[in-house]
Amino acid sequence: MWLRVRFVLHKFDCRFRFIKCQYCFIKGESTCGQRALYEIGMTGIPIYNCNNNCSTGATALMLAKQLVETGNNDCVLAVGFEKMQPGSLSTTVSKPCFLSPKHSPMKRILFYSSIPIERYQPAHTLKSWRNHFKLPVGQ
Amino acid sequence: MTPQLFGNAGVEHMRKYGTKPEHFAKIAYKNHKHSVNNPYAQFQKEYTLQEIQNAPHVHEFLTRLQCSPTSDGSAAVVLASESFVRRHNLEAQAVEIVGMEMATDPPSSYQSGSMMQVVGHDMAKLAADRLFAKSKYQREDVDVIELHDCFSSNELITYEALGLCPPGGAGEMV
Repeated sequence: MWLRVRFVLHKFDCRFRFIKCQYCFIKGESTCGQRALYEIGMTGIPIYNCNNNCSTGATALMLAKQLVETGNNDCVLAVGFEKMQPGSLSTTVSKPCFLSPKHSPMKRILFYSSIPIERYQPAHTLKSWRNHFKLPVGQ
Repeated sequence: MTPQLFGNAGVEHMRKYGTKPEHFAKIAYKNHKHSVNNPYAQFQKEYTLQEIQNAPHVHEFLTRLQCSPTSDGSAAVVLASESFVRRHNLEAQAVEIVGMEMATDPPSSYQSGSMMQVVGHDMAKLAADRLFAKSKYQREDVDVIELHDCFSSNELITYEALGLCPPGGAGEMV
């Protein structure tokens, strides 16, 4: 990953001290951005980590653009890297939210996707969710 | 599960607009052809349409060569303000961002009972509409598109969402 950063910085003709840069970081565990970038220098700059699945890179780019637009930062680096697990993508939701496989079978949401949006409000109990999912096939 | 989502969305498109499995295979054919010129591509082999269609089936019409593989990778971009670019004489290598939009699911994604909506048709449409409304450019001005092609059906559906062709016209466009 840091090779790629060096490559980009090299192409960028890095004549300025990039201590002024602000990094936007993406994907993986929290602070993985710090871990990766310390390899090319510990400059003390702010580093942000974000994860937005397939749109993580686009998210980092957008946030970086907005940071520049605010006028607070002149130069921002958006970096992404990923090491995927073998096999197909899996759902790894640890907190009980409405996408939790335990409380709301994902396939049902997606294949019988006629759930009124009100169902997403927290006022509804899990019980009402379960009742909803007892809809017969084809509804 | 993702091949099922995108595969079923493709099936819905076929039912609705008469799109054929060949249309999806042609998208994969084009994308594999592009990979030959990219030294950073994970696979750099060109496949014939026949090879793509005869590859092991993953879900419905989706064959393995129409699905994205598991991969590792990285990318980096430097963003700078206009004054910064001028100060450091970087105009020659700078690319201007004329617009950027991001959108998430509107209620229709889950209310319409449509798989095409679930996999992000309306979301992409929302972002594209916002972008073209804000920028001085129109769809006709776009020369190059880099499109997320996790599955061939995703690319086909996104053609229509971005407004590159009328709804249902993606098969014909391919």
